[in-house]
Amino acid sequence: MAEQQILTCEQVLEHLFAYVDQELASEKEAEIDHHMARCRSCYSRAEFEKRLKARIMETGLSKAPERVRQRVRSLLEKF
Amino acid sequence: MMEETERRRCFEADIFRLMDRLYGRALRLTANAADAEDLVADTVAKAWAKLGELRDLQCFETWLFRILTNTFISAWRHRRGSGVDVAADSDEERESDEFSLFEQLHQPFLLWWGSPEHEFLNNALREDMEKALDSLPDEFRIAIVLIIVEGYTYAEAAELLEVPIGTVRSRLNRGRGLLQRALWEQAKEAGLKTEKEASRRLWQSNKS
Repeated sequence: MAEQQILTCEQVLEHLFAYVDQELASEKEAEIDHHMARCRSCYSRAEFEKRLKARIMETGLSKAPERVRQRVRSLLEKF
Repeated sequence: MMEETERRRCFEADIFRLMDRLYGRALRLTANAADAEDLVADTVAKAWAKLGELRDLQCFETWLFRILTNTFISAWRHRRGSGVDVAADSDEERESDEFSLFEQLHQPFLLWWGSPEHEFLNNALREDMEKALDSLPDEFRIAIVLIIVEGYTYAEAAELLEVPIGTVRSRLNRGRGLLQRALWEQAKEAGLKTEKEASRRLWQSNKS
């Protein structure tokens, strides 16, 4: 088994967004997990980015105004 | 005939079940209520016209949102024409987009209690998030919406936008920096005081 590379905070921050987006290869992700388990600062930063991401995700749901519903209803009646 | 009526009834039920998500995503992509309304109507019309092509009805939702996204991207690309790609700015401007809200929040403050980043996110309103997102240049907003709001992977977003994956990653990261900067500016406008500002005010009030 290959020895896990010890990353610096700077190296972790370089990959932070990809880490939060779960876009890293499993080996790199494991290296960052390893760092996070020992570094309070990077861990807090990652938690902040995850929470901010969740707040951005929430904006994808908006109550459609009655006008839009009515327009779609009229459209569907023509089908 | 009966089958056609049933098919239409099911389609209609699914569309209205997903209406708030369709409208929400359209609103984030277009950053404009009138365009979002048009996008939802175009998506519903296209989906009905192509419904026969959908092999697996279990995939209806994914398929429908993909139509919404593709319809938006085609219209946006057409509207933009061969205009300047703001994402291709200089390295200097790129550096200025590397803004971290977390780092700003961890500067010394007078009025923070407990964890500043938790306080900030707990106090940020949904409309603050929407306003900051809508203020971003199109390329950056679209990258954020595709990946964070719609949940596409970097590779899927690259395919949808017909750009290399590195371009998607760069737009997303720069967009995040700009979004955080916009949230920070909004918070300051709303009354968040940095230590420097608070000290100046304290000094001025002591002087008078």
